[in-house]
Amino acid sequence: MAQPPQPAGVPGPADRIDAVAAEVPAAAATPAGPSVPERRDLSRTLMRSFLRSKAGVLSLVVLLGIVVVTLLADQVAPYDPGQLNPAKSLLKPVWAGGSGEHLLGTDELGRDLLSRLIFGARTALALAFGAATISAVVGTVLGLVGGMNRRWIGPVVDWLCDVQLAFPNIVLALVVITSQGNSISSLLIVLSIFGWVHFARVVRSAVLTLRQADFVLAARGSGGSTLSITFQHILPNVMSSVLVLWTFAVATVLLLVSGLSFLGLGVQPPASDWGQLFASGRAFLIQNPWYAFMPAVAITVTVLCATVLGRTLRTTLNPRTR
Amino acid sequence: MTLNVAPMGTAPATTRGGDPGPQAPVWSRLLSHGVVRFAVRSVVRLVLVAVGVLTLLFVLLRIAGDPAKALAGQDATPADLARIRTDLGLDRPIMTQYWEFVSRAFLFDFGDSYRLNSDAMAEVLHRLPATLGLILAALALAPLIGIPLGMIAALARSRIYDKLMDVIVVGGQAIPVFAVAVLLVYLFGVQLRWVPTLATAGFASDPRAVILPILVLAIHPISRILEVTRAGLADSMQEDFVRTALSKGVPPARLVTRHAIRPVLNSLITVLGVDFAGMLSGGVVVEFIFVWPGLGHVLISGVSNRDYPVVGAATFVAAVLVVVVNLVIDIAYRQLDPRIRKGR
Amino acid sequence: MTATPNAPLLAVRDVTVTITKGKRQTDAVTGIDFDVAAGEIVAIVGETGSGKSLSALSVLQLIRNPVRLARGSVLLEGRDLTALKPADLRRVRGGDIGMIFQDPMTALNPFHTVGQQIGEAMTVHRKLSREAVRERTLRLLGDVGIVNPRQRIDQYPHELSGGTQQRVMIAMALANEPKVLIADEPTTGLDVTVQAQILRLVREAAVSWGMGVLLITHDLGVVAGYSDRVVVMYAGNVVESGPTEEVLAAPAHPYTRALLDARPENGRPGMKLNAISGGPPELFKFPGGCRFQPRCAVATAECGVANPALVPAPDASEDRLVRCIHPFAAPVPSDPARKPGVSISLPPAPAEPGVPAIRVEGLRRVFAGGGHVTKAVDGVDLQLAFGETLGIVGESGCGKSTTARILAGLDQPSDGLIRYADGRELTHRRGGVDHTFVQYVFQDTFGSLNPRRTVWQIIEEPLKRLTGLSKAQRAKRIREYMAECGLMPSIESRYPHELSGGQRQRVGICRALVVQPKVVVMDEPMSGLDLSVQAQIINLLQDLKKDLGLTAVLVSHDISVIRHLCDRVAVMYLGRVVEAGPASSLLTDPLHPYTAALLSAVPQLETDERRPEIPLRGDAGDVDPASACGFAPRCPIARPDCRTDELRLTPRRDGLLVACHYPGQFDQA
Repeated sequence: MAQPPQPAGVPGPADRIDAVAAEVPAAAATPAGPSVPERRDLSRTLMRSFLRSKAGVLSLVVLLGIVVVTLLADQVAPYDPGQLNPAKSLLKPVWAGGSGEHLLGTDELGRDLLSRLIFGARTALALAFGAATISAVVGTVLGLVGGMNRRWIGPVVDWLCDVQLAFPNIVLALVVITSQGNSISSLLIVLSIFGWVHFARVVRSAVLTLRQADFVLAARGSGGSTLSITFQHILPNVMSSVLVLWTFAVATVLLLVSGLSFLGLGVQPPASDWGQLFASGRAFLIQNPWYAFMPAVAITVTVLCATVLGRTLRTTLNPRTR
Repeated sequence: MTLNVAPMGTAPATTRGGDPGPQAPVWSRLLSHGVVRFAVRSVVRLVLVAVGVLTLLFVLLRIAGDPAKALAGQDATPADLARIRTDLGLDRPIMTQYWEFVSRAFLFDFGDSYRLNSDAMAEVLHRLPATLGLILAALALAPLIGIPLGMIAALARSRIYDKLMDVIVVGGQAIPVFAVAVLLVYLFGVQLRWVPTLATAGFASDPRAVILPILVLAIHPISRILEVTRAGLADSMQEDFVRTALSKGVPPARLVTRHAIRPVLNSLITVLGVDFAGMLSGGVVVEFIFVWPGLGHVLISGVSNRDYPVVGAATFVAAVLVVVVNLVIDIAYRQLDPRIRKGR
Repeated sequence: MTATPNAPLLAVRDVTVTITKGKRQTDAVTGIDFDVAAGEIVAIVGETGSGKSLSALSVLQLIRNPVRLARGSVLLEGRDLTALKPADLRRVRGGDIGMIFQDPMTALNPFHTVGQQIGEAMTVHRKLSREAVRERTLRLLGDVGIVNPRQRIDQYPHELSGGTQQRVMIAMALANEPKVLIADEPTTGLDVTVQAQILRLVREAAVSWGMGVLLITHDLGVVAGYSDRVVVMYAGNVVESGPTEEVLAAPAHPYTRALLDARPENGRPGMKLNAISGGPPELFKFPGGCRFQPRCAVATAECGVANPALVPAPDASEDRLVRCIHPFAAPVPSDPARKPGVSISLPPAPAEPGVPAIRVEGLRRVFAGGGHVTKAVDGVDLQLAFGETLGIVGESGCGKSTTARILAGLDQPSDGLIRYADGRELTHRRGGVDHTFVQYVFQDTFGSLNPRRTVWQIIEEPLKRLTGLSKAQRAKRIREYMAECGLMPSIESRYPHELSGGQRQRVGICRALVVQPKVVVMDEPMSGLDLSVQAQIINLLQDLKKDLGLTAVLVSHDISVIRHLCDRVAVMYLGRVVEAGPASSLLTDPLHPYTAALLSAVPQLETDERRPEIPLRGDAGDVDPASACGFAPRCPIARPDCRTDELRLTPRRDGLLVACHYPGQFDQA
């Protein structure tokens, strides 16, 4: 996530125009000037800017849809995902010649694939959202503290980041699983470990820039303590980056947990998730390719939506591109 | 921050490296020299990271996990366990064990594999070339595809092409590696029968069998490189110095190759570094699917067998690789940017 | 258009530049016309958003999306550049027309050496051997006044000082002996002494090579000192053009008149300036009719009907043009008396008059990092009496801002002592500043206001933390001070990015004053603002001085601002005060050669005020850490003992304190 520092650029002609336009919104409103334009709310501007992105809105809607279906799994799913029906094994989905009873077909034991997908989402999404949130909190706190205290906490946080980043993420997951087994809680820990680094690094470098900002110095001149400056002036200015990263983290964790489950080292039966479903479907590619295809699509769509949402938020929240 | 202190380029009242008076010791003058400082800092950092990696491994494999139990198996008696503990030295004070673990690890000694009863590190190093080859091949392929696509996107200003590239950029990072691999194998290996489905002998297998693993591993880096090239080049075309070159009458091709592409190179190098770690991860999955005899393969079998020495050795090798690659990237980064090389 | 005697070298006709943003489109430059003759320097002057830079860029068609040249033609010796094929246009770029830009740091390629960049300018236009290129480059570098070309040619831009970088830019633009040189704000951001050198170089090149020069600037002093003819732009229109001396002596357009009146040099110290009300219009919101009419002092109802045409000015020489239906209208004397300020309950009068508000002894500030040690402040002694305004002048890097920050308790000295009248002391060990005693106003109006807080929250913060006022008391105080600082209550809930530059600086000043500090330290509060807005802020400070009896430290590189607002002045060079004393004597009759050189480099409008130039030796980067007098390496009258003999501030005539062995002897240089 280490983006190289862009060479300091002074705006080119196009940017200069933007600067002009940004410079002037209320130029006419100096005391003696004409009447003041109506007050605009920052959050409303952001909202309008977000709504302008069709892809972003669509992603948000789809993601919310998936979350709602997952939460209401018991009501929505047509069958019990564990209900065996050997007579109807490996049915194809309805558009590929399957029966209407099982919209997406069945697995090798005759379990309804749609229901398994819906319930599988529970595990996958709970892990993804949970781990993303934990790493966001841990990473933000460490980044904030590490950025504010450069004497000894900062270097320690930097060192932790370096150590963490030396491990390819699946490799570290495998080590933890070797030692701790693969219960859901140890998976949650494993997955949280990866994310925090990215939050910590982004927050830390943002803090390093912000703490040099004149408005932070001004807050000091206004009698602010380090604590109040951290929470009132610095934290609010990094929250938008944290939000964007969190969206990306959901996507990354989802990919990772699916990967681990696919390797047979993640979520263990009887619990199931999309990666595991895909792994078991893989054995029946020839008889019923849809079996493996469906969970792959589910993962891709969810990750895609989270990524697109994150990108839209990034553009929306960045004053330069707003 | 301190405005006015050092305006661009000028260095008012600046003396290099403290007071280089006659009494300044040689080493301090040496240390203040840019390259030496950089080298010393890099080495210190490398060692510190290695110590961190080993500490974490020690905590996970020796303290949190129980190697004795893993070695003895499910139905071992307490007496068996105690004997194994003594054999492994697990009954000694923790600091002694830690010291021994770290000092041996620095000599690449992680002990014998529980399953194979041979040196764990030898086993890992024996498999390493296959993995490195796979990654380097993908790493070479990715820029060949990603950079031209990204450059076209940045320069052509075609909406349709840009949208298409959006799909590759976002899609390439959203589709799970294992799904792509499995579906490609199904399509080209099972349905079309163009390529073998497995590559059990690594680079020694059928040359056609090597294509898919490399391609699959390259997908993510391609989309990343494409993205960085596109955004970076679009940005740098707006730079003032590119406008200056334009005002000198520099023709378009030269404008891009001599002026605009330079700042993008730095970002690209960074991406390659970050992706190297990602490809070690992706490599594990790819090796699993194609039964590729590499590091990932050793690792996965090590994990399923709870073979602690093998897992430790494989992880340590992977971490060292990542750290070394990042060091190389730091050096390249320095060399490519005169502002850092001939530091202020 | 009036015909110039000989056909113009460069003729710009009806050039219109449009900007598209989303679905909106506007003409940022509307049908401008001007000529440049060989050997002539034509200045385009205007404020932010006037379209002056776009006009310059459109000559070589260097404007890029979303900006577009909509119509018009650019004729170089009768050949229309807008109709050229790309390959032919490339031959003109850098061949017939050279261009230099603002901010050489970003305009030069950081990845190539000076030699490579200048060499490229030659080789893209003709075939030359490697040796020939290098030899010619070395000669060019020498021509533009670079001292040691053989060393500089293989250096990268970041290793050079700003002035040297700009010389390199000029060498690059002149590499193919162009017929026209376009200079887009070539000296903005450079120090005045460097500015004088660069502009002199441009003028010499124009004269000796018979080159036409198009000089874009916002500084009327530069226009007066270095141009033959001037084009004044406002909101995308040319509002007036003509010979520089005539236009500046008798401006025909009310805007030109108002700009001239708004200059701090124009007002007598202590008097208010005739500021133009409001700010330049927003890009997509140009007013109907004459674009200046909403801010114009002589506007009538007629002015709002249609934008007048650019016509020959009546009763003037024939090549003067003006876009106004009331040319030469006498300005209505603007009302210098302000609406009675809101009565502010002032804190008790300052302490006994004998005690200085702030006393500084042996102040030092050293920055270490990356193997470098920078002595930003190197032994400064200062005194600030209650009720006075002390100006600190100096060029970038002289340590004036660092000193200001330390005075305000926002930074700690590495050594030395600061004693405040409230009994507190600030040393490198203790940060003992009472922020209700001294407050600070920042230079950067954007960076000093938290983008996520409203104006009200920003102003309230110091009150909340530093005083025990209740919520209602705070609200009352904020309203009073917002009114005092000329901020309308309606902007209370706005965010900084929704304010204009002038408003943001008013908020910054208001935040500093609201806790009723005894002393305010202001760091370049006017820089970065347009001239017309700058005058408003100067007037505000003038009012605040009167209403609140402010004791202030004002840091600025702009001598005219200092002259206008300050009672006493300290001149800094390389971290030391080289001269200090009453503004009246120091700024008219200085004793230190550096002060004299600084004053002589300031471009003046009135010819009789122009001083004989005192050229400095070497470059701003020339530093000899071993020298006793930091200025000796550049001093025109330095003698060997200047570098060896101990130097301290010594009282001389007129209450001036001077650190120089040979004060007042620079006439003999």
